[in-house]
Amino acid sequence: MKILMLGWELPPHYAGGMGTVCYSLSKHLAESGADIDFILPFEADYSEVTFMRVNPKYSKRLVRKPLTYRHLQQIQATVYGKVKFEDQYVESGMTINYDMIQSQYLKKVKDAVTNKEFDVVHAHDWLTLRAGMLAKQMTGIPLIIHIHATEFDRSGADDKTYGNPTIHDIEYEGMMMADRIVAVSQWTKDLIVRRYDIPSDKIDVIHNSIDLYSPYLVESTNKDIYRYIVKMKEQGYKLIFNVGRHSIQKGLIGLLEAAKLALDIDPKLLFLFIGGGDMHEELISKSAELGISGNVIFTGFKNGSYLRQAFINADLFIMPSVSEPFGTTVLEAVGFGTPVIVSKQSGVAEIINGAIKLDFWDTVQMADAIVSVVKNPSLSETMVQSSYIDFNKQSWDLAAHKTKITYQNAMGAFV
Amino acid sequence: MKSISLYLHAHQPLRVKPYTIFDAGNDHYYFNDDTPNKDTNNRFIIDKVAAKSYLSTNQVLIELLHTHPEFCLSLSITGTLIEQLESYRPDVLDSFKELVATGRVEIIAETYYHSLAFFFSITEFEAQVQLHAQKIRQIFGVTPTAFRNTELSYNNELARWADKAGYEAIITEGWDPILGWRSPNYVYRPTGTSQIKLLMKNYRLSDDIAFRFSNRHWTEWPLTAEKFTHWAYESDHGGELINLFMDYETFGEHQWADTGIFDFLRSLPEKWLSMPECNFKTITQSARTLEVKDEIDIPQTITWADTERDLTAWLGNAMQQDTIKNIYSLSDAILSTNDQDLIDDWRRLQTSDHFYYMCTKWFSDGDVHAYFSPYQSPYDAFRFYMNTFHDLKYRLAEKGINT
Repeated sequence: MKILMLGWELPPHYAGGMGTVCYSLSKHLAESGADIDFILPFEADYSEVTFMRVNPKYSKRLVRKPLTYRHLQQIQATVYGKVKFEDQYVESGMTINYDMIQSQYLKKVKDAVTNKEFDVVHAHDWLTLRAGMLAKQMTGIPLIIHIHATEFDRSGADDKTYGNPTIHDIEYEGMMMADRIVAVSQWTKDLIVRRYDIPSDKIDVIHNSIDLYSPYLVESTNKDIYRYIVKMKEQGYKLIFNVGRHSIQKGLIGLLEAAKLALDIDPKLLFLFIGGGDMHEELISKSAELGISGNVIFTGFKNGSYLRQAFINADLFIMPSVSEPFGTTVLEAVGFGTPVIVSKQSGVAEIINGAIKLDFWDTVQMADAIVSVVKNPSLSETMVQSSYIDFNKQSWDLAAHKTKITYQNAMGAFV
Repeated sequence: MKSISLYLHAHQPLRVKPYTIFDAGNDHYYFNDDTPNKDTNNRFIIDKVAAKSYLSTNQVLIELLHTHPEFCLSLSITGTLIEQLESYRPDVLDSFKELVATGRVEIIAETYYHSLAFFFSITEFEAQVQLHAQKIRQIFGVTPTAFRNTELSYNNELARWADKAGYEAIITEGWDPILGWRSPNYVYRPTGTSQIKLLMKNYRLSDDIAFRFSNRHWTEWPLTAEKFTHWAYESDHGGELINLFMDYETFGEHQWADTGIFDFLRSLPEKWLSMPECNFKTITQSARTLEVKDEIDIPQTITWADTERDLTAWLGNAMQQDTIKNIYSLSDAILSTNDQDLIDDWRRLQTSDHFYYMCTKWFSDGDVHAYFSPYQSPYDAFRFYMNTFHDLKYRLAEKGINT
């Protein structure tokens, strides 16, 4: 089966969960016989990836000055954002915005489908949907779109708001045109049905899984990077950990408020936040306003051994998202043997029964749960054991198998 | 008789390098950034300011002291600057010593670390004033008789403290809402004190030099010594004393050499002394020779900073308030160790500049350049600072002190 996979990031060049999910899913699909061409919006060295072709060259010179991952990061793929670059990759003083990245990406996908035959096109999230629709229009091959997050999740929208209307429209159009939709959780499937009016029988739920020993987690491990935290733990402190983008979606203001309440009960708690984003500075200010900055650590964006060592040292992982389609980091935490607290408004809550589940807005319950878990080893051990059973039920082989069924259903619809 | 009290304040903090949480526990050196040309490289800054300001200013001042036997001035120099000059630029320290050796340059007392300790821990404040006095005796062989607090921060309580401590003079801002109809050009008595005299900065005339000197949009530009001394002479006719208080770095660093600031300084004494009944006095000389005209009551804290003349540039936002609370919360634990390196680092982190770098006031008026900082943002300043705080806690934990 020949698959044209459209993604926006891929380890080792990635910022969020979607990159790692694309990597693992593609790998396991390839292992079960799929032949994958993976198209990214930037050029980078992917010689380590041998199970599929990343950015293959179909015709000789397609883009005169291709973008690098660094360019993409700076633009952060906002519809309105634009960044001025002065380096060798782009013309000096040139301004790059979303439309230009899109047109370069569309060009690459057009080049792929003109020069090669594919059985399906599999597009991940809104940034690749236009290219996915173009591929379907040009060739008639079935379009599968994979929803890792919708604009409702990202913008923390309530029942009356939509987030960015342009993005919402692209998502809606993509979902309408898709032959099948993959949702990463029942939570997300329900949201797609409710907010985009898509028939539920067009949507398959395929939960993410996790490779704890995948390359992006097992980089060289430096045990000394959290020497301070280890020392504080020897003094009786407990470490509560969160990793993710610092955006409205992640519910972190609420977590800081809960942290304040928890610290009033037990001052020996440290809260570690790994991540950056548009709310990063607001969170720093908030921790100071609450008077808890001595117990809250912000590292900025980190990955590799920084993440791994954080998971290993954490006494509790908490993901209080306002709306989280899946929540891969929770699986990682469980894989490292850490008890987890998750918001009910998340996909991962559906599959990890050993997690404490609460409403993202209920800071009192959150504070109580934090203190209860770190103070009661019996509770935390039980949570870990029970979570690990559910963790073991998840596998990328299973997810890959379900994805192939989705492909077959989509192709069947065309026969 | 009309006198000018010229008072210059020299200070450089020890800036924290971009110190991450991953350094905490691994690297206990916070102030040793040696990246070339970086604003957190303290040696680089000392060299830069020495070249642009200290050496040239001291050269002009020593010439003036030799040419005009009637010329004198007061200066203050913080412990953190002296320390850095000792390590990096002994030649610059020597030029300061040469000034003081003339016997006509008074040194003013203050906290060694240019800290806000007075508002958070009186015992720590007294310890730092003591440390500064020791250092001044050791380097310059003199004992200060007048006192200034960091950023000229001042209130009645501080005046009472300085009075009890035996200082003859204390200085602060000549702020209009305090003075009302009164003029800054006299000597006053702080409420609740018996001996000490208060000198208040004539901020209009001081700022003509410190802030407006090079401003070409200013209708009075260019400012000549002749014009300036004329203004000073005419400034409220009965006035006895013009208090010109400003940063040392005004000369050469804030106002670059090419603005003509050194020529201005060079000709100021001559022009002033050529006017009838005009002379120079140090701050202590003014306090000793001039009569108290009235009592000044300042229950709230004022400073010489910003249009608000308060501490909001240092303690205005939650980040600043929380970090300063954190650093002083370690007082007892740190001092109990008797570990001089640890105590020194903790005190260096009390320098007010660290909190100033976290200021977000300029967000509202958009005046980014008004608040110089070696960091990209106030949030970076906060993060690096808090990570050093974590490392202090680590060092305490190493000694078995649980905080």
